[in-house]
Amino acid sequence: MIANYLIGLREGLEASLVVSILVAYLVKSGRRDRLTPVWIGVLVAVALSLSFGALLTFTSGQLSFQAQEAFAGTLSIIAVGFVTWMVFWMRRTARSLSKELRGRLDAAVAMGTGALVVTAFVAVGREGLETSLFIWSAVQATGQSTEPVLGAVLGLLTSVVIGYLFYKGALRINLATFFKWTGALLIVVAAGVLSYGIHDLQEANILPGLNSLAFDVSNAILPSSWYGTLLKGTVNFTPATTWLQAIAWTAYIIPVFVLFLRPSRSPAPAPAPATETSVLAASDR
Amino acid sequence: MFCRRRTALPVLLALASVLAACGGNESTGNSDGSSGSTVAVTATDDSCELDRTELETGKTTFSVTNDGSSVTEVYVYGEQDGEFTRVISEVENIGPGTSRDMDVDLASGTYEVACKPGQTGDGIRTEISVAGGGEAAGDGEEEGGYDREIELATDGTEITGLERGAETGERIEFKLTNNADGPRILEVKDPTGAVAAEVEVEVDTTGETIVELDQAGDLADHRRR
Repeated sequence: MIANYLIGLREGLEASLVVSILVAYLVKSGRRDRLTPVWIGVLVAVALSLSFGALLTFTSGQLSFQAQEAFAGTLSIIAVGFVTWMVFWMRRTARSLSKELRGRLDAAVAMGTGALVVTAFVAVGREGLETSLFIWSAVQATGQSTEPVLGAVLGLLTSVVIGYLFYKGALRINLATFFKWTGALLIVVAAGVLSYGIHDLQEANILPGLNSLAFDVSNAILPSSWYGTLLKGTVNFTPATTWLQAIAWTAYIIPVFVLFLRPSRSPAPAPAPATETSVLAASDR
Repeated sequence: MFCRRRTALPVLLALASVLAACGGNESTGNSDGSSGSTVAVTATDDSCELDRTELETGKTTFSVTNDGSSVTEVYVYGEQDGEFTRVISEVENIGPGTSRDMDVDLASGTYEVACKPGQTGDGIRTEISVAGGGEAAGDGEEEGGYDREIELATDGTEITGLERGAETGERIEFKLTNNADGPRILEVKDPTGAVAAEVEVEVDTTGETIVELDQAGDLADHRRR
């Protein structure tokens, strides 16, 4: 029960976080009209994953291991691109938001609608196939026991609830703090997704070096433990990380963080309750 | 850009040539054992039981049931540099009380199947051996029974000797002479890109593999990287 619950939680957590940040951002910036494309992206990803997973589970057709890994790996790397785009897009529109407060609209949000759909889609669909294969295997087992399917569904629901709570919390904090922290969080998440995607491609034998490990702490951080699950579910931390994964992770996170932090003078978030307008204007350079 | 010690030299069977080893409509054949076979794998927290370890070449379905209390994953490892480290196939996230099937196309040779309770470590390993030169083990054909032989050679940069045009139902033996500077794998792929047959060939040796086409099609060579 617990083990199945933790898989469901892990698989759903990252997508919940990305989608809740996206939704919170749109709501905070008064762009509720853009929520529909986000939900369409989410629903299409869920529907596609579930039906494709069902097809593979209940018919004799199966994707080869290599094809599955290559698919998941490629989608992960695409997801990294879109989440990175999202971080910088939020920042860019944050600047125009300060102008908007002075009565001017910016076209940046309109530009991003198609990309919003795709971002929501890849965030959910990335691990959707693997998750739905897991869900359907739990459903198949209900003949003997309902525990697996119950655990899996409860885990997924928990991840959605965590995403919702995150959203609620995000609405309460001021806009400048929101951008700083969610942006940073998304970059860490995206770096993890990149590393995970690299690992998939290594398993598919498309990239080399599957067995050259940079470190292996799987004895200290058990993948089946709750903290291992949380680390994996949020930042995609792999206890046994290959050199290629470690290099890709570093090569992504350092330049992106440098770009992300560039305009702000003080790296630490300002604890003073500055008004949104002044903070955003200060970073608008 | 990346140097793989064992470069794959896939031969793509283009158009609608579908190999006996693949395709959804072969499932009836699988259940009566004429092509492909099933191995039941029972995994618990501290054991990994296979109902048999001597298999035939071609498609094998590993039907994994997790009777343990922790999540498990199952790997099939091929040999690489004297160690079983090359991942042939893997299925992860097998929750307690659930089952997952894993289809693998196996060429003749020795492999290790590993269950990894808790999805960590090297796993509980069982050696399996795969034998037989043909695809269909049940149709009584002798090893080496084929209609045509295609002799290929590689110097590491290209494959020579490929003949085009295959007949329906034809059994073709692909024979690769490896003149490259390292071991090579000859892969025969069907139009979906799935590996229908493969054989590893050491330097200065010849290796062969037999495939059967159940529809007429075209042969095309296709170099990856």
